[in-house]
Amino acid sequence: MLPLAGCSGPLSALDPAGESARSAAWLWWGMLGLLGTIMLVVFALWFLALRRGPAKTEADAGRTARWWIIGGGLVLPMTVIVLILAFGIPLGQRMLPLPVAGGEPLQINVTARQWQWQVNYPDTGIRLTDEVHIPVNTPVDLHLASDDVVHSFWVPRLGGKLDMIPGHTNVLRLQADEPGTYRGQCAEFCGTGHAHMQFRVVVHDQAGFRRWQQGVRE
Amino acid sequence: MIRRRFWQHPASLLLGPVVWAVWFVVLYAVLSLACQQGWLVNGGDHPAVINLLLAGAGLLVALGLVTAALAAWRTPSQSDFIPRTSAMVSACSAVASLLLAVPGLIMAPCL
Amino acid sequence: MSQAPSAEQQARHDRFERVWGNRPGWGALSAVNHTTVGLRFLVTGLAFFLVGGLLAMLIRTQLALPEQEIIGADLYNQLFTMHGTVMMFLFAIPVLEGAAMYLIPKMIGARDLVFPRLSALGYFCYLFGGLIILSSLFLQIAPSSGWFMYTPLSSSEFSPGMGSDFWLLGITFVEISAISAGVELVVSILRSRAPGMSLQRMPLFAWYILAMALMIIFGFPPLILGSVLLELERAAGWVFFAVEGGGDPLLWQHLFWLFGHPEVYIIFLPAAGIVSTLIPVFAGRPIIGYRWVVLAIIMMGFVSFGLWVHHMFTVGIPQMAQAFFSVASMLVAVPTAIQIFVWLATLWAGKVRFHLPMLWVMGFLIVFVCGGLTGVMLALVPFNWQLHDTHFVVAHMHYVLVGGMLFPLVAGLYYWLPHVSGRMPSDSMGRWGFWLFFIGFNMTFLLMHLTGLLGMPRRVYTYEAGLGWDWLNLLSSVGGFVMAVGVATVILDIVLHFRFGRRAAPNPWQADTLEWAIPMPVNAYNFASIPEIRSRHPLWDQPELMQSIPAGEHRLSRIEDGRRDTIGSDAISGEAREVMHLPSNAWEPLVTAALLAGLCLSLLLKTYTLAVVFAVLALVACLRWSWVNGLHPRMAPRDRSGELPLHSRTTDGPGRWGMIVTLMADGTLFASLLFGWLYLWPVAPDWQMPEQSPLSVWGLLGSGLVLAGALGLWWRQVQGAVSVGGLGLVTGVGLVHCIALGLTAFDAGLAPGNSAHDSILAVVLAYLIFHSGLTVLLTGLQVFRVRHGYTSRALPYELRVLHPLWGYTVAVYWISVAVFLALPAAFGGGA
Repeated sequence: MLPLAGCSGPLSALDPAGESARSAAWLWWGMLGLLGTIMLVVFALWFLALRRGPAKTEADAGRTARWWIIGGGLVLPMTVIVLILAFGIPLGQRMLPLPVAGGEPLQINVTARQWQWQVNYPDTGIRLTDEVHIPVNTPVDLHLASDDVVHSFWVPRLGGKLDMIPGHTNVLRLQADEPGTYRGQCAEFCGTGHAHMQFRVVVHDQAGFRRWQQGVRE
Repeated sequence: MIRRRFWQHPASLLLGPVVWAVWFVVLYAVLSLACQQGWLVNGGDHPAVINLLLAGAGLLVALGLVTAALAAWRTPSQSDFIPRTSAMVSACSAVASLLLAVPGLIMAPCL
Repeated sequence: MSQAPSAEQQARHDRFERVWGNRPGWGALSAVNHTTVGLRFLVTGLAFFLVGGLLAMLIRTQLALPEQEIIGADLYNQLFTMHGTVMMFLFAIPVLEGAAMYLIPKMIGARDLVFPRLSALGYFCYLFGGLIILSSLFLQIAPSSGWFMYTPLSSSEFSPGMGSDFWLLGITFVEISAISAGVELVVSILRSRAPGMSLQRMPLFAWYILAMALMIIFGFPPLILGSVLLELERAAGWVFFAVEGGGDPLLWQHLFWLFGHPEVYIIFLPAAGIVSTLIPVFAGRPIIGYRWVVLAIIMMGFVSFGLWVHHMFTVGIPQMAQAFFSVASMLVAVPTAIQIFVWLATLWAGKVRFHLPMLWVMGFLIVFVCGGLTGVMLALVPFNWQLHDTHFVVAHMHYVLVGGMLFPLVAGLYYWLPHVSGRMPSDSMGRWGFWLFFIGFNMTFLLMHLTGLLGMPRRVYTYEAGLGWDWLNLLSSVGGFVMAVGVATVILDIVLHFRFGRRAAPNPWQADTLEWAIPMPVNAYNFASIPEIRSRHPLWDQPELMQSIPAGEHRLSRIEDGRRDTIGSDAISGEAREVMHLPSNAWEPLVTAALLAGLCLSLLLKTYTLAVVFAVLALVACLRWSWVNGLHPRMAPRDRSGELPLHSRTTDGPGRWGMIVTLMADGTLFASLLFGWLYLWPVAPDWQMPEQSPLSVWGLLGSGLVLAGALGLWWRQVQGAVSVGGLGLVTGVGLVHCIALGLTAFDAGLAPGNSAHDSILAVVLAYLIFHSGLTVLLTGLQVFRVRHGYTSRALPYELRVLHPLWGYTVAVYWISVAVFLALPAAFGGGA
């Protein structure tokens, strides 16, 4: 296992700073442990099978085989699937833009075009390019659209990505735990500028966010 | 007689998966259409009627396939290869059809 | 051959070679023999593999260090697009088709595939199409919007050059070979097995290939349709995927992945078939759980069509729909696990001999299981949202494809080399090649999982330093080069073995399947006599076959009237039913493929007059081909007495089966078109349904009734009243229908440049006119064939072949009327 220090990085999905990203990272470690163990056991069995002598009788062979196939081929994957889905589906549901108790989440419209991000705050009329400012610990709904080709909005440390498709508007819910600057990147291939189509998400504390709004308006 | 002939025919190997596939398409199409046409409120009550309906339908499909599997298993035949294999395929398809309905039970529709 | 054959055997061999062999020199281009065509597919595919590998090396060079500018963004985009395209379409699928074409007749005890000229046509389409696609790279105008061609990026607005056209036209051209191989393999496996080889005695490899071929039949048409629509949008300005006018870019993604995901299993199944063939041989015992494997193959074939949306989890599809696809994606782990444990149990119960091919099988197991498990992870929606389109997916996909396809392929290559060359591969050099490749592969791609987790997106031509990706990318690149050295070693090993390998003993691996009863190195006709099969493991349970087959002790041991023939058998029981006479060396495939290549090039250069000329010439070539067929004296013996009838004198020969399988592919294409209509109608943001359909209801109904009348008249002909006059009448009535349909279409005044609604209607009308026209044309041809005596009351074979086409044409006509006319009339109107 690599030291956890190796997992940090400005775009690392393993260094979460938001609820959604944390769930995803948690899912990764959980599945790695579970599926990694299965993998090692299967390898070990194969290794043993190569070393072993042949079965004594055909009946013996048939019996063992039935256990292998029913146990390993049916029961094992079914159990794993149910387990993973049982944890995964509810976690996934919590990442969705569900209604928030006590008011509407902050809405921000992001429109992508080759190769920049137009950010627009409908409440305040603030317009930015390649930069999103959000308050900490507050659910934010990003309304994602595209002016030209398919792009994808992704801030790995805060949560999963969502595509921006011409003619459609998708809503991505993000929430940051601590103030700071997080990097975002276009994740869907969009032409020659794809590699450099990046942006920043600046997370302010509540007071700082109000100050920033004021500052921009003046 | 016809039934017995069917289970001895290789076409019976495809019965289970075909039912599974049709069930899949129906499930997906009904749900997409229901959400698209606004027959269901976005993120509304859970479990909604549609959840129970889908889960019930899944159960029915699975039961049907299990019956088919039993019928195939019991079919007498000089060579049991095809009826037995059909039975196993149908049984697996029953489980698969049931699993498809699980999200329908635990999730709110149209999210 | 180790034992010297007797003089009589040698004489028989010479007689067979004269009939079955290829022509010398340039004449070899007319070869249709499955051994030759299969090997050509394999060699060409491996050449494309080297090209694809070279592109990968360039990609890894560019990514080795951060902020490099060795290769610019535009060229890099061309490189990764072409890497994916070449590896998928020009290497993986054709090579496996080639392997199947080479092996299947030999394993099931036939002398050739049932449509030999079709295999040759497929090969030339593949070769020419591949070269056309590749040429774009040398002209530096290669496609650059990814092998998945997502529109609008690939549209004429955002990719104005010729790159996307090369992809769309070239790939569609190459797909002719996939479909033709699919049809041919299905019919051959079902109808040309050695007598006594019932379904349950079929080698597992044949089950795998049967499933693969059927998946090609159902999997490729959505892509072909999508490519045609996108090319129409690019070249003619019609609307299918553009939002303005009522299209939707997501339709392309659906059509593409509807093909794209089954495709992964189309690649995996034959490779797994190789593993299921090798493991019992090296474990020295029959596979345990034959039935379970058949079950796994069937389940896999079906389930793999229900997962395509897992490539689209981030496009904003309703959650519950995503959950279905998530469940289905995980379900596919079950048949995979069944196969893994069947192999495990077989090894467990057997005594394993560890030869070189087994090393590659072990490599397959390790790499593929890793890839499968990351696949389960990616099937989980919330995890997928994080890792989609990162290098994690690149790693996963290479583990699955290289693990699931390349490792078994090399194992199979080593295993069947003696069959082709009569010599054994070297052990030591082969081991070096394996370990270099295995270590290099894991170094490249195991680390890439972490690169992706640390946030590196796919398809970026460069990246900043200091994001934690630097050392990972460097090591991946080093690993890539180690892997390349491994590939070079393997190739060198294989080339050298043709010269220095020691002579192989008969059946060198003590295998159970029939192909090893063919004397080595391989001959042109496979079996000097076709045996009766009484077991699932013929060479283990009937070892005398090794001698008795070449000694001519079984069926069809004499060449009759200098013609090629093999046994046609019942699809289920494998009982012998007829003698299939097969075409000999022919130029039609090469000529037809060359004309189609001309068509493809003229479409590419937008010289449409020339395109029409080529299309007409290609049609003429096809008609000429079909003329020399059936009971034409160049194709069929005048008469032959024997216990079995000739297939062209039956009513249910391979041609009819081929027609039905082809129509299944055609029907899938039509269904994809219906899907496009039913998808765009409710989903596309700007969809406009006119209040009143532009098509004349009376025109369509009238024309349809005439068609139904023609079908009635046709029916009487098929039922036995075969006559020149009767068939002439059918043709005439059919022609009236075609004209009425054409007038209705012309009268509608569709404006496909303005709306998706009109564009789809135009495509549907073109589709209907094409089918009606083709049916009438082929019926008209029958009038002349009756006059020549090739078809008659006593010999209705060709009418029987055409019969399903008639049914199909009428069916799609009325389905179209219902879906495109009646449905909008009932529910449409501005929706």
